[in-house]
Amino acid sequence: MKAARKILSMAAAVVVLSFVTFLAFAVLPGDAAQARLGIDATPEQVEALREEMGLNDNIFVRYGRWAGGVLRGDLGTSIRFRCPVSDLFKQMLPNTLLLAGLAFLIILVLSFPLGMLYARYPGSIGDRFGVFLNQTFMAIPGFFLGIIISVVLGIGLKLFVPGAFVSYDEGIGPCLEYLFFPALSIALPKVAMTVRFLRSALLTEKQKEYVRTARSKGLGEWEIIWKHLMPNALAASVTFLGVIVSEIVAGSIVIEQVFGVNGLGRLLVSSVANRDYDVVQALVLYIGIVVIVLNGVIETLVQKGGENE
Amino acid sequence: MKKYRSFNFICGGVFLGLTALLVLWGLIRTPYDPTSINAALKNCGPSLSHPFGTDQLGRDVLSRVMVGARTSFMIGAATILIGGVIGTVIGALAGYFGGLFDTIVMRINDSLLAFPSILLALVLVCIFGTGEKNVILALGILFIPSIARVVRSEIKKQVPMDYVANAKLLGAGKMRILFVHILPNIRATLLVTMAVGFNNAVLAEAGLSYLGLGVQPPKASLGRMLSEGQSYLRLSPWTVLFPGLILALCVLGVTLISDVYSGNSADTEDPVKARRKIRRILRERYPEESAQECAEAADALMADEAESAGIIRADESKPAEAAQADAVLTVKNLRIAFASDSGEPNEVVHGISFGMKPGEKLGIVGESGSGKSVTALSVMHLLPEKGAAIGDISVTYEDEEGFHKVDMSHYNAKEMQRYRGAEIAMVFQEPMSSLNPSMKIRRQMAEMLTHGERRWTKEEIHERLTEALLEVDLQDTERILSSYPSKLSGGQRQRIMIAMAMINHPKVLICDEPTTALDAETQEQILTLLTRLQKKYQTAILFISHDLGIVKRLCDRVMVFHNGVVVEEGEAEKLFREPEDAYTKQLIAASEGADFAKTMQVPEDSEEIVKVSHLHMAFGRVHGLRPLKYRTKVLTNYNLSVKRGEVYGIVGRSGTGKSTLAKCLCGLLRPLVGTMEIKGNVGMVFQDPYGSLNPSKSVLWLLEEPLRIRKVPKEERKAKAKEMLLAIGLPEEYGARKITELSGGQRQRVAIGMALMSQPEILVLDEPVSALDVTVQEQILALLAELHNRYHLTYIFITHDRAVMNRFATKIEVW
Repeated sequence: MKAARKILSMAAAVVVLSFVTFLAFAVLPGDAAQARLGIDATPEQVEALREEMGLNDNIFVRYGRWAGGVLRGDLGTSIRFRCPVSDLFKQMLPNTLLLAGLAFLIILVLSFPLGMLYARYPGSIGDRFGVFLNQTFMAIPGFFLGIIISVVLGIGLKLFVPGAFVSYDEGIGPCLEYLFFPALSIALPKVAMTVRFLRSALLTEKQKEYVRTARSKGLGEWEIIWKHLMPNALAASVTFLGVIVSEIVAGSIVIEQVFGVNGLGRLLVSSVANRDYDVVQALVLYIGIVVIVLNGVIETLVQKGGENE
Repeated sequence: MKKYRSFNFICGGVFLGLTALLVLWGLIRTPYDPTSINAALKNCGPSLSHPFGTDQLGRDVLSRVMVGARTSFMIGAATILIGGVIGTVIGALAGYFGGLFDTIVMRINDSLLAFPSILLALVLVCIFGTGEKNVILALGILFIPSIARVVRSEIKKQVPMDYVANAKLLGAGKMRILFVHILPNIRATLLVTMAVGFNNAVLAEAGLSYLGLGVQPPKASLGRMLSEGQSYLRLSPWTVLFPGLILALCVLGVTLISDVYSGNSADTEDPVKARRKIRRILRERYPEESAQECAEAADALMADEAESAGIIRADESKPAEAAQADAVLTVKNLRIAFASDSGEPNEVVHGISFGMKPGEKLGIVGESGSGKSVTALSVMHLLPEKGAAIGDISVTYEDEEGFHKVDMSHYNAKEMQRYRGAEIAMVFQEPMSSLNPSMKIRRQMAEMLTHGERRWTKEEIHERLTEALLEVDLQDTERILSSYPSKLSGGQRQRIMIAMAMINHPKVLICDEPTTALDAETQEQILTLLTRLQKKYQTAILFISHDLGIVKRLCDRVMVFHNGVVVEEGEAEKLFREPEDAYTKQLIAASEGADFAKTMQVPEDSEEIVKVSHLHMAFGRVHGLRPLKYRTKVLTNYNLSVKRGEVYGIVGRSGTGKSTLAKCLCGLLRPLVGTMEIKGNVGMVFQDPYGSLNPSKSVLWLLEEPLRIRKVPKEERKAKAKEMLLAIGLPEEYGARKITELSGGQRQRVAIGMALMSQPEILVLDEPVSALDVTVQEQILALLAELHNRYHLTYIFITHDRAVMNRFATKIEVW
């Protein structure tokens, strides 16, 4: 019952999102017919094409047509590439997913131990240096970090060739090898964010009275962090996880540009620049659905966890 | 202020200053025209004439950085101005008024926030078009939700506080409450949020411009320069390096400074080092005591070395015959100090010594701040982070191998782990917060069974836990073991704490106000339980309480603490019967108390001033967009009649709706059903003076506020406030002090004064002395009695404390 309601409300959110997206692009000046014919076309030609493309219909009719298409897997046509948007998706989505997954993995592996370490020795020299380092990494824009990484690790140490991206269909191994570096650029600032969050969540928990009880039982400090603080801090971090996921999506948009990764982010940017609306629309819808579903899942997790308290 | 001298603050200031200097300098004059192209100077490295080098078109990078940073700063500032102002207003209104508006705004907000901001920015830019103005507009809109959300949640935290209710009561309008009373208290958070927003805006602009969707060439912005320079990375890395560096410096500077304010920085002292420092200073202050201690420490050290050389440790396993007669717990010359802002540690316990015989029940009484709790904590090495202790603490106990004397004063936390929970255990005041909310009772209790060599099997653990629970009269063991603490009552939780503490049959059990958070009936049961367990296992109990009555009944021997010194010590019965010390006498007198009811004049046959009939109150919970559903009934068919000049006492346990009635009487809550006839103004004094007075204001400001709301001229207002200051027994110089600089008793005086400023005839006193220490309680009660006569007031006095009520009220109603 609860699950059904959850799914229903998520579905409603997707419908609203898709309509808003559609509306935003439908009211734009300079329509698709004009864009397809170029500036030399006569008004009559444009009008004829408008009629043919159904652009003169009521907005709801047009939305219905578009939404129907989306449900059948027809995401529209790219004006620039002159091919169905779904083909572009098939080509680029795996690259983006690999990149995001890799970045997420790096974040998990690096930030958990670091966060616990800082919270174990707050105020120590290591902690202070760590926090300073954290703040520095958070201050560096992702693309600048990407540039630094390609200069130092790529041009300097020759660990990889910047710009020589290998797509997943040309070999998954070399693809992952190359993607490690952009993933690192996405991950490092987020690692800093996560460590900072985890540190402060752990330190907040550490002030609570149950920690004193745990000490009075004779538990060690690491034992307390691991058994008592982490579960409570993690419950607070689940929402933060959602932020991280959406930050990874955002980071990949820019980083794909820096490293020349053939992914959805790069497609989005170039489509915005070229006003390739069908592609932008489809991408926004796609990312929106991902975000809505992820947040729904996270919310459910939080509610499950909250029932104990 | 120490804040400004911190490392982070200075670093941040320097970074931000550097970038600001660059921008300001560029405003006056740039070394070269940032847009002039010079083919002869293509890709020159940094030199004296071009400190940052030139780019692929021969333009001076320094000049371009100056102009670019200006653009980035401007966009950041403009964004935060749009987003900040609109966001603050929306958030404040949503947080304060709540309801449907709040629900709708927050739904929209949350869905916007869930999306990656750069994606929304891209879409907005796609709709608005590129260019500086459009970027500002897009980013500004983007930052409204995040700021609104922070402001809303901060306001939401402030609204239920008593000081807001107090302001409402004094007649302040909604907008006045929101902007004059509440907003100043969230200023710091607001500033930090703005700083973070500024950073995000600068970074987002750089990102957009880097993608070619922000500022358009030939205009420079830092992000733009990075994207132009990237293709020439191998040839001229400086075209990328310097703009990136400046961008990072600026953002880092803002982060560092704002972190100092948000308290997020690690710029705190290392607690380990801080403790060592306090101990060193204390030893320097008291060289004789520490000389003795040093000698013992040297012994211990030698024993340590002996142990590592394979020789058995002398002080632990040598049967100590003398110890048999001795105390089980010995504390000698205990001094405890806390780190203070001035650097000099603030000593709170001054050389206390005591011993406990096996099976003895020793009580420590004293008011809050007398050092009784920290003394108990220091025995366990559990002092809060900023505190440290010197002195000797030793525990003597017997097991199969004979007597052991353990000198704990030189142990570090790790060595203490062996004894905590095994030889000494502790029960704390708040059984809810003392248990981990997200861990089942079974696991929390089982953690006590990890002591020693023995590893217990699952079945054995279960058996021992069940046994321990049965011992504290908890029958429903299966259910309790698999429950989370929140599913249990306060009494059950405290029993669990006791069961847990006693499971290893410790030699010493320390109880720090174990019954204070419980109601009278449960208190009684817990005390009986403790006595029974103590008899059965011959455990020595160190019992700390501010409640003399409880200590008198439970303990064999009592120590009276005052300002960190033991002022009197002796057999419980004798000490309470014939106290010798002046402070002890005062304490006992306060706990018995003067009869104020007799001193207050009540006119005979006066008119009825308050009449409440058939009052019903219930609370509901707003569920989403649906209307209010009433869940809990608080008051049903309640009638009340109070005559002019009476002190009408209402006494009852917590949770019976007393406070709800109080709020109803003074108009803070509207009755659901029923009529109230009140002839005269009603004022109110709240329980907790820490919550009912606005922490960001001064004493006089608060006293003047009721008159300010009524638009009384300034001169008259000031004179009346000063008069009131004297009437509530505060010296004149206290007027300028911030509320945060006052003690609890002084705050409560201000709260009373504030209520009287609007010249009420009826004063509703909702537990006005319950949050105060006994001696302060007496002073406040005396003040209230005096004011009653002076201003011919009628009191409606609400409390859970029967004893206080009997002495103060002229008419009592029991709930």
